[in-house]
Amino acid sequence: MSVIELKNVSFAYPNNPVIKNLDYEFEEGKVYAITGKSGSGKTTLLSMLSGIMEPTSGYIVYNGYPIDESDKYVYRSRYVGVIFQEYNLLPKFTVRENIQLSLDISGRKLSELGSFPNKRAYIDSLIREVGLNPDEIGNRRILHISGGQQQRIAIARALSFRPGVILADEPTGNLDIDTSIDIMNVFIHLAHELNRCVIIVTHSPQIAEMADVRLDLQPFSKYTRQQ
Amino acid sequence: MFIFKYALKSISRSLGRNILIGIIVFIIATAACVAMSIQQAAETAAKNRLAEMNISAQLNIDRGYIYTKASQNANTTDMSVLMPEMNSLMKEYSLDLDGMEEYRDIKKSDSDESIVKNFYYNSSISINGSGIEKYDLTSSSQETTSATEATTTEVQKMTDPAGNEVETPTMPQMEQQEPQQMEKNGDFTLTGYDSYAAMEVMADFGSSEDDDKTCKITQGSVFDDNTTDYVCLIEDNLATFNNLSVGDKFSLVNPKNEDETYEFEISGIYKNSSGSSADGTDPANVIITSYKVVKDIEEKSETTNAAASTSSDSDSKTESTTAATTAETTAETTSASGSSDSSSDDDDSNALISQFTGTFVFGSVDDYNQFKEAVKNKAKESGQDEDMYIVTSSDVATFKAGLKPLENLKSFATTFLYLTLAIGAIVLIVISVISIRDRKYEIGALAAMGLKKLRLSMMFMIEVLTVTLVAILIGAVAGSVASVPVTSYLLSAQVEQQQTADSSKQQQPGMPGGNMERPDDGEVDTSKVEYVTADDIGFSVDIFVILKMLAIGVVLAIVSGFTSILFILRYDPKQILANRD
Repeated sequence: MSVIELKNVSFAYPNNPVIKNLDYEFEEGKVYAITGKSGSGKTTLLSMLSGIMEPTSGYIVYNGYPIDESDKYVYRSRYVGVIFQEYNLLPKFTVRENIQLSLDISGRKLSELGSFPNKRAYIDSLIREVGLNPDEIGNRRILHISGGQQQRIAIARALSFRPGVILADEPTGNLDIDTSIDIMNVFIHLAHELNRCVIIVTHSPQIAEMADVRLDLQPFSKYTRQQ
Repeated sequence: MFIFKYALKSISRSLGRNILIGIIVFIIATAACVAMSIQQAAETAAKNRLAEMNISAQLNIDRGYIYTKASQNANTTDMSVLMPEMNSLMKEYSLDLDGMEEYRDIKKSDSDESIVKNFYYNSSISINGSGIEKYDLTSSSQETTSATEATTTEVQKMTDPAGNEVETPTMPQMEQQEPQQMEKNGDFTLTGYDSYAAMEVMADFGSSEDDDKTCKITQGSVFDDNTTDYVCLIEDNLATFNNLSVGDKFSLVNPKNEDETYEFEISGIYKNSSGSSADGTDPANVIITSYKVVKDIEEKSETTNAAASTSSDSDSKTESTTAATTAETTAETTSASGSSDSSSDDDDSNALISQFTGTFVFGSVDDYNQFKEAVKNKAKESGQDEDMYIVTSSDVATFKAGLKPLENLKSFATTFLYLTLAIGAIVLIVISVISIRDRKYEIGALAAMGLKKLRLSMMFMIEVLTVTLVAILIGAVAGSVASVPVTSYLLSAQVEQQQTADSSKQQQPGMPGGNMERPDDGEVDTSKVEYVTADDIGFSVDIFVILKMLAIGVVLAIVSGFTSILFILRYDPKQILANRD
């Protein structure tokens, strides 16, 4: 079932067209890997899907509603979880605080998220979901955990409000291959077990190979789909 | 609200930066608190002094006005021609008891209450003694020529400033009245007060326990206010000089009619600690009795001398010419603060003539100012020039002079406060800008997570406000502790500077002003000015200063917070995250 759709989407920086007339439907329960050379518009596409940037023409539809007609902040905080290449965690806050902040921003109530006695129990379950031990890591500041752990926490944070779509920009870019494979397994688990739509941008062919669908983005939006 | 919670967490996680902001705000707050407490001290000291003081004032004829009017009437500036005209006008416009009581009864503009809280008066007669000699350790000839001197001095005063005896006297120096001058052809001044309260206000009488009073009863007691008995108080030096004590009797004699005597009994002896009286008479030679007694003497004297004048009209005429002329000249140049109650048209009479002086007491400066305005209005209503009468009070002038060092300090403190706040605001803005640039990534991350810019701004504003207000409160405490010694030190320096300036003026009596200043409200003898000192101020930080400090804190926080917000609103999360170094 389609969760998010590109409808004739184009994007151009001044005097530099990047994406042109792109149409595509992303479905739930699948991991998509967007690959392509530098300048092909991978990150730009992801930014448009997350609502941080707007297409210069065309539009994006989330669950049947064009996102340019909705509040971008609400869209970002409740419907799409974004994982950045640099994780974008708040370094002075603890692991739990980073996740809770995202949850608080979304405004989701605990009752909407499952049967948990309190927020802390829910946050700990998210940390476990990404393969970490909350008792060990929960109260540590982001500055004091490894890159792989940070990426997992960034994923946990993106999952905190149960978004339908997870967008990840080079989620394994700074990690060694073993950790990268672990992270990809987390994404596959989210898509296959929790029925999320996961869209990642990656340079790594090995990581792209693990995705359900690989989209090789060419300049001016010609893409080839490999399944 | 999670925004508040995260703002507080953010403060605790960025202690270094927030301590730096806190220190700057603390310094601003401390400096501002000291400056404001100085301002507060000046206002409080002024209020306290005003609350404590009853303002006594005199209603006088404006001599400048009289001069102008006389010049217009006589169409000349020749003083020899003008003097009789001026004397005539002075007599015409001088206020007696009835006249002054009309002013006493002026009501407040907003109520039926009288503006004047109290009205006191006295009447004085210049008289000789019999069986009592005047106290004079300096010169025996001074009194005999005093009448002529008074006239001469008057003329000089009016001519000196212009450097020309006749042409253009300097009127501003004539606007305010000299203390009452009267016909000084006797050895003593017999002054009758309407009450003991009048003595307290007009002659600074007090009990022997009152250290700050000029006159104190040392033996015996004061007579009843309304007594018609011939009882009196005499000065301690006079009593010693004449070997008189309480219960003794002596006589006073009309200087122009030695057959006219009045026997007095001494009911009390008082000590006058002032150096000299305003008219140059030795204060020891002032004998005090009741107003009714003086009026009784005046009436008896008029009756006696009218009879004598009728019986020996032609014989006395030639003999009295010289003395009468002197008496007339002197009497006619008397102060407008009082006028003779005598309605006698016969200026050649040997009768004793009293000089009337009234003093109005006001409960506040507002009442005093309202009275000044009412006097002008009353003059206008009665078809006279509004400047004909002037109200003066050395209390107000002395009060203002006493506040001068504190006012100077207040002015300095105000400038210092504005400067501190301006510099503080600039420093805080700069720190905010730097801080926001440092936290750009955090802003981008939060915005990317979907935190709206309004909430993001609120979060930053709460952070700034919290840090600022905490620092302000600590600064207010430090400032209030520091304000007392700092204010004391600065005020002492100001008072010292003022006193040096005063003493240098006093050492140059020939210079304009001398030790007497003439501000709008009356004459100030700088030697009598009591400057507000640090002891008068005390602890001057109160709830209003704290509230002002908080208001300043909020304004500073808003100024720096809004600078942050402007930057936050400008930032695009995608750009921030893309350009992350």
